Amino acid sequence: MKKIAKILVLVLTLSLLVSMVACGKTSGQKNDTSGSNDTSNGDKTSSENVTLKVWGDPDNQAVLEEAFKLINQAFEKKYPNIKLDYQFSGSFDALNVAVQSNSLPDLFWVQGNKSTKMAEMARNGYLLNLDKYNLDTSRYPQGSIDYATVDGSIYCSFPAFTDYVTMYYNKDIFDKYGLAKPETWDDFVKVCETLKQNGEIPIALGGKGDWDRYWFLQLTAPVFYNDLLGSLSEGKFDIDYAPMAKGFSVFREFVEKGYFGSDVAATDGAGAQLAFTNGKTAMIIDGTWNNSIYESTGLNIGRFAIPDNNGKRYSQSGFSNFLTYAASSKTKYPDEAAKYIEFLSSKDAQQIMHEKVGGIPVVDDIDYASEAIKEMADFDIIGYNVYHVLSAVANENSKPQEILVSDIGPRVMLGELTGEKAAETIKNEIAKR
Amino acid sequence: MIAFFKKRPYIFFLLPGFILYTIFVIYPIFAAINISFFEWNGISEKVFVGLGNYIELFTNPELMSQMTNALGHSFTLFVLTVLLQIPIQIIMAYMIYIKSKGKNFFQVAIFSPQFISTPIIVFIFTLLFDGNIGLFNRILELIGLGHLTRSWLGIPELGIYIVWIMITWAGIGVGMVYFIGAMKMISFDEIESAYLEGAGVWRRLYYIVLPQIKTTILNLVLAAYIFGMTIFDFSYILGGISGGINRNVDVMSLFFYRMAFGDQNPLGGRVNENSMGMGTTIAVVLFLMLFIVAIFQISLMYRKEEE
Amino acid sequence: MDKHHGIAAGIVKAFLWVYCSFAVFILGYILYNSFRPKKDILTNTLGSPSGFTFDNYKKLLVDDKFLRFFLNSVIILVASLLLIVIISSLTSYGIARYSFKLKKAIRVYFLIGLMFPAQLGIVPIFLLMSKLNLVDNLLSVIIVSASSISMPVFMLSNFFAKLPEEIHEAAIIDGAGEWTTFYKIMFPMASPVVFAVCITVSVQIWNQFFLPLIFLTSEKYKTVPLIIMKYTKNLFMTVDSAMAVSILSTVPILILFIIFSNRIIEGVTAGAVKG
Repeated sequence: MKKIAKILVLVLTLSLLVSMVACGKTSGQKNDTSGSNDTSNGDKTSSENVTLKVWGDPDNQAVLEEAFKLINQAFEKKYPNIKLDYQFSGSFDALNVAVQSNSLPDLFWVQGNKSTKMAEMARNGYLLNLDKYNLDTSRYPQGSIDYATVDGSIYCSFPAFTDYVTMYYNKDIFDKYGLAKPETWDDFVKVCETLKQNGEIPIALGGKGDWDRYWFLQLTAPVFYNDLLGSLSEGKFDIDYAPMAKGFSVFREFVEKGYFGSDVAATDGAGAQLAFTNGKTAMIIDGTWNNSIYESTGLNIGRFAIPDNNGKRYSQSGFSNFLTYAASSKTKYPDEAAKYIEFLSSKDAQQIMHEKVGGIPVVDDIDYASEAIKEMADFDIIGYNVYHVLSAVANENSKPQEILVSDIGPRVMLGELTGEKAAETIKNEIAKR
Repeated sequence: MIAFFKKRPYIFFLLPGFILYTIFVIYPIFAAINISFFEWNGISEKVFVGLGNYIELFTNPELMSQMTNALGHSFTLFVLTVLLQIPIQIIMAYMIYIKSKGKNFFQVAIFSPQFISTPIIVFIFTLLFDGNIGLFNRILELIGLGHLTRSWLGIPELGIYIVWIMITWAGIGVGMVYFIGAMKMISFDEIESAYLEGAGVWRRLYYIVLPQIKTTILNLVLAAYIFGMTIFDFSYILGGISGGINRNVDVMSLFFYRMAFGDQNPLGGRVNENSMGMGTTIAVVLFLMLFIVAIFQISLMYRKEEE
Repeated sequence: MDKHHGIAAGIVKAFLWVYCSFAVFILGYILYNSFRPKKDILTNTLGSPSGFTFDNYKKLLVDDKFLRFFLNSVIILVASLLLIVIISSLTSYGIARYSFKLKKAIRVYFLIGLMFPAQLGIVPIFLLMSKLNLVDNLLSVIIVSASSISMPVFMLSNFFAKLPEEIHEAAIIDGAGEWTTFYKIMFPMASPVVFAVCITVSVQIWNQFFLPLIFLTSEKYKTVPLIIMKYTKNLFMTVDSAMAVSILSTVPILILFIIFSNRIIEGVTAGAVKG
């Protein structure tokens, strides 16, 4: 007992010493508020050596690590006086704490207009307004610029890639039954029916998880009610919700016909993905962001964007936030921070990201890294993203996007709600505004 | 001055813990409780609303129905824990205490899931019990029961019970270790003399061991109550932020988390207008529910001791 | 004591064997998967393995320098654990052995820490730590972890209260001071429970996620649970590393646990209590 106690005390002392020596070099938080006013004499700082603290997205660290290593190296090479202290520590929790304790790092990742968070932060003075740096917008579609804009001012780097939910299919299974990529929605239903008749499970769907289940709704929304979503996003709410009802009914139909297998409500996301990669299902609905998983399986996998009855194939709008960063208004080095944002918006950084991570470019000058990406970029129309449209409509009293994901999704799946009733629920929720 | 402390030596024992605990645990709690009197989304200016959030929580039918549902599940977990888990823990601890063959193996095997991170546990269970690729179903098929195959972890009507089973599997070792510790404090002579009198192994448990570990049982009942109200991660991983289909695995602290930090998802979403204000309000209500029970339990225990 | 416990005990034991084998099976299953290539886990989840590989471990240990994160976690664990044991046993002893007016209130007071979600109280602590210049420093996590003594105090104070009063009195009569009585006599007597507390607290500290997430922002200070998160957030993308990291983070602490749990089973102080 005594011996152990002695050893423990020794270890403790040593470990404390080690940790203190190791931590001694760390600088404290930069709470200096004078920074934002210094921007006018930016020339003064350009020759000094500065270090920018950047917080990346830890949830995607495993995906982004390599890309950012290269991007940051390229940046430091281009601007030898600017060093980057890039850490994957920008979790939602850490960013919340940093906002509330006024200790944001110089730069951090943001979700642009996908979330209202960036707008809130900009309006409350936490973000550096980038207007005076005249970032080059010429390469980008309007959507990318809107993404970075709050109340007419630019606050973050522009997204160059888009994500959407697509259909992955097992070519071997398709070949076995002489099936091809469907050209129209009816084709698609026929494909499912043929597979079903032959005893295959057509589509893997994680009916248990809110998001895994929701992907089907996002996928089919533009096919059935793209115009309706367009009206909603323009603020026209007094419209006919019948197409939406049709879209929801299709979900229930697919469940009833067994296109997702027999126990869809109990299947979880990982189980669905494994079922597909094990060749137990012919298709899976998943994000383009997961393409690398499917590529790494070595299976013979193809992808197609979902077609409507006129043969138009849809993606859903949604920009990738992997390269979108904003600067804190309290940063001591606004000019240098702006340089980093400018660099993330450059072709150089985007090409690196594209090669390491993938992503479907919305700018024209990126060289496609693989055939798979070409396949995923092969769609006719960027449809509306139903979640984004509904959350843009939402306010304090009305949360149609939450209703869609956590209420309508499961209840339509279980047959507790008809398509008409579900569309009516959305309509009523929007009317609460 | 010195005489004052001489008379009250406990102050020296209490002081270090009291100071640290007060600064780093109590003060932040009270600083946070303050937020429940404001309308605040965590970013913009706070607006003072007095008891507005509390009134809202108890009058808004949607919030109320979510809260009663979550509360019901938390109570279910608590009741299951007290009625099933604690007796099992006692029996497990007793088996180890009476030096059954394999006691070392038991203790390590029972406790080991504690060290595996929750997402991995859930993933491994998926590999075992999934409908399409689960090992369990494969075995069912092999023994000719293929028609029974299901996605066991996701059966909606079993929601909260599956959460409980996984929590229990992962966490049963903690209480057991306390019971072993408590049994070890029982004087050996008592057990020995009972044994010499011919009391069997279960009689000794019932008449000698149980009365001696009564306080531990009472403590763990309270701990189970606190735990049921604050358990979070299994429900979150199994059911997501919304608490599963029709909120079938929702629990109190997930309800709190959903209100306070709700829309944090890869698709973005909205910052809810009063997320921090309402989230904190829920946390305070939860806190009061725990606090009152704790006071009740502790005074009960002291009354017993005084008798 | 008797080796034959009767039929009922036999059945219970049989159940225990089955139950425990299941736990071992799960660990073994993770271990098995940790040696499989990712492609194999994904495309042939249940089938017989096409080959075994050490790449998953090599990637973790060499490329991702897992040992550094492990060391950080060990430093935090050892330091906080020692502080917790010292502080909480002092506190519990103070509560249990002496009678004073606010005793009940103090017991409830020390329980409050279990009742409120830590996420909400983090900003004031963060500000405090940033004033002390301890943000991004292991000490911040150690101090805050060592302050969470609710559960240890709650469990320990009962046992100090149960120790026979005569021993305390005898020690005082022998001329031992309050302090000597505590650490020479009373503390060792409660050691089965102190060990139980140690074990459960270690698990919490080892698995704690939120504090390091907020306080340790540099990669070099990150702890094992944060690194586990890196591989489990996109579980499918990194399922190979996720399996290997589970083993690397579980097995060493399990071995420590085996060593210490023996001490509980054997009853460290059976002699002391009798004497």
